[in-house]
Amino acid sequence: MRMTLLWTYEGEMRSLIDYDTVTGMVSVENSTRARSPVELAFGTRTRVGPADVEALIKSRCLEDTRVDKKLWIQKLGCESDAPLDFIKVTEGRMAQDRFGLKLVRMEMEP
Amino acid sequence: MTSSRRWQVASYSRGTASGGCQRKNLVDGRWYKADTLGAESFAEVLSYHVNQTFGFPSLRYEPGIWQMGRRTLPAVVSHDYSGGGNVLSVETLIRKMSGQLWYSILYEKSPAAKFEKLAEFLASYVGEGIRQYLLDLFMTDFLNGNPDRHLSNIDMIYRDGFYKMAPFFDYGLSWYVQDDVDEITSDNVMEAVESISFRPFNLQGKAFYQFLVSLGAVLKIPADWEKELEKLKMVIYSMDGLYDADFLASRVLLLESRMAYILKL
Repeated sequence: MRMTLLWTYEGEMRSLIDYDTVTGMVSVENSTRARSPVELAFGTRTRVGPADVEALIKSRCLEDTRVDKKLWIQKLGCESDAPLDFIKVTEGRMAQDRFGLKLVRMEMEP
Repeated sequence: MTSSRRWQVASYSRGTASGGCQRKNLVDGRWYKADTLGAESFAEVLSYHVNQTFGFPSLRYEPGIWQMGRRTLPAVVSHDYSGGGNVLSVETLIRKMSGQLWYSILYEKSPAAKFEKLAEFLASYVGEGIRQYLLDLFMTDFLNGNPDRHLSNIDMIYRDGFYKMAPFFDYGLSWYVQDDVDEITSDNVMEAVESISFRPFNLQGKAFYQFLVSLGAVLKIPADWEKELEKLKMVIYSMDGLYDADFLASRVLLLESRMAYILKL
């Protein structure tokens, strides 16, 4: 599967992430508008791998141990409790900050 | 306890946070958290009052009720301290900004070196006052017996290129709420008091206090201590409708024992 994710801060694009789950290739393009690297998806890091992208997606979902996770999944209308299905609906927004993670493209292998 | 101090919490809300396992909602600038593992709300409320008593300002927690249809759970209410900014855990900041320093802090074996690396890293964002902030924070963990101060439980607030530290928060596992000490008696209470291992240094009991003092931390015992202790007991008794009487009585014993232990240090 190949996907493109958009990392946003206050609704503005900060990082564009291309991720190929088959080859494990990740490419990140960062905006120059960030006032601090903390606004970027991976901060100052220059080497980013598949595990980092997966961790980023998971960090914008409820933790697996969350007691009312099923309730939220149902309430939000997510297809499943998979992290990608969660961020498809929430666009990676959480109440504690104004970051977001939007799935803008997803292509399955033919 | 009067009903006016309790908050009716709807279980439906637009906002929630990613971290932790508790039910939590942000509604109109207030965070509501319900008990999940035991008596986290009790621990938050008592810890707030203990911190105040010892002169360590921290996030104010008030007892509440989480309502889910006919079912209710003890809960806790606090204000949204982000002030419209972005709450970032220290762990997130280190991972994003420090590169290899993250591993260096995480795997550092010497508690003192770990503390200094952490303080030095954070000082570059919030200034030299961070050292005192950390010492005070860890001292409140010692006061309340909080074993859960991992780096995701220390928060910063980021806004428009500026950083500041969040108020002291998250004492939900303090006061032995997870322990299997269902029947705490005067025979086993000191064992519970000394048994706590404090993160992120994994130092146990008195050794943690001695470590903090060696770094320059100061704990001032309030004047008129007996009166202050009585006030803290009243805080426990004020939660009588939320927790059963045996639980509260055992926590009074723990409070007395922990405070006696601290006074002797």
